[in-house]
Amino acid sequence: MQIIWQPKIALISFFLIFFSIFLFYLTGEKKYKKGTSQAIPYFSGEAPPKHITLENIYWGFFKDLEKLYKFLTKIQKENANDYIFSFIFGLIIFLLILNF
Amino acid sequence: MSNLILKFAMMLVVIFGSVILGLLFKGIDRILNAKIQKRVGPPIWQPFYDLKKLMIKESIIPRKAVKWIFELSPLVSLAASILILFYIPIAGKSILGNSGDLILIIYLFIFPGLSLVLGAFSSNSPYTNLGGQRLVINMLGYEFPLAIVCLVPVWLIHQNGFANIFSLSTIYAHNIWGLVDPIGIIGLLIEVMVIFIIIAGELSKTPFDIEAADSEIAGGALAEYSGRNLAMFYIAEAVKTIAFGSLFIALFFPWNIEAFFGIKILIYLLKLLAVIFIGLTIVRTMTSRFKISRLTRVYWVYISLFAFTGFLFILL
Repeated sequence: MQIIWQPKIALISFFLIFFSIFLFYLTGEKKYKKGTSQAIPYFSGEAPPKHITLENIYWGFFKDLEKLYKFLTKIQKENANDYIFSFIFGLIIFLLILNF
Repeated sequence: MSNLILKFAMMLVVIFGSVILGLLFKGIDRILNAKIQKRVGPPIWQPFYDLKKLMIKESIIPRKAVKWIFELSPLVSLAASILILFYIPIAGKSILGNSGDLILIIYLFIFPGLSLVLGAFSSNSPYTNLGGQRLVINMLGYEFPLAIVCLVPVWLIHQNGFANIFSLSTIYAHNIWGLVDPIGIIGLLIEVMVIFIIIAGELSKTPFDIEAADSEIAGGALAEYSGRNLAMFYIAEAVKTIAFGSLFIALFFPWNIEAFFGIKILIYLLKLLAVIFIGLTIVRTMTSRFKISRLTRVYWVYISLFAFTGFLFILL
């Protein structure tokens, strides 16, 4: 039998599940002490630091992609032509792979 | 009409069954984990007690959090986890098997994680932000080797001239171990090992728990969640375990036998228990002190190369 994606059925099923679990969710406690220290985001009792930059987020990710990042910044010099060239070059490689 | 009612009834069974089964398997996993570590461990019903406790606790919404996303994401995460099970054959039967294929299922597996990321970003906490970003990195990492592993059965089905190669019902109906030569069996074993590693990543368990990292970022993405909101994520994780285990069984160990449906269900549960025990309990117990600092490299280089090697064995 031919498989055809049916988004309508997926959405209806999703809402059926959502409704079922929402009924269960409503049975839970919804109250809390608003405006008290309870609602302050947890940070080990200290004020959140402001010196965390993007590079601190996950060192390993940047380290692993360091070579690729350096290569990309080397070939792209904030010139629109470079970006268009990269896009067309990437597209050619992609189409060549597809043809194989 | 009667067909529609039957489907509706089956949907309800899967919704409630998956939640109960997920929590039960979570309890079994915790007991087995404790036994391996020579501890007594909690009772099998502990996840149910945890859920009950979470439902009566206060659901705190952090100051300046985006309230509607914060509250909606746990529900979306759980609903998406259950929806995946509608498309996967369980004991040979799937509710929506004819309206979605393997590619759709791979995409659907992104939804629970993505909802958690949105919830984390809306929490207004540095810890949850870090956790959310790490979770994205984790997801980016395991999707590539997962795609390679999922392509293996599809490719084997295609090579043998079957139609609807991406349909899970087609894959489920054929024993892929019988479609390869002895060298190919080595390749399939490698792919099975890869998927056992990916299970831990998909469920953010050790050694791939960088997004939670309790001792480092205080639970990461879930740091600000409590009460019924945390309960929904708790169930979502349990259901996702069942969904991923079921996908693994459908891809690699269908071994469909002609028997009474109850026996088929029993066999499915035993297979699921084996998958969870090996892929989750053993892996996370063995690597409980193991820390991966460069996760992307591990996924994109080592595990992907391992998966490619398996594919090459099958091609030979």
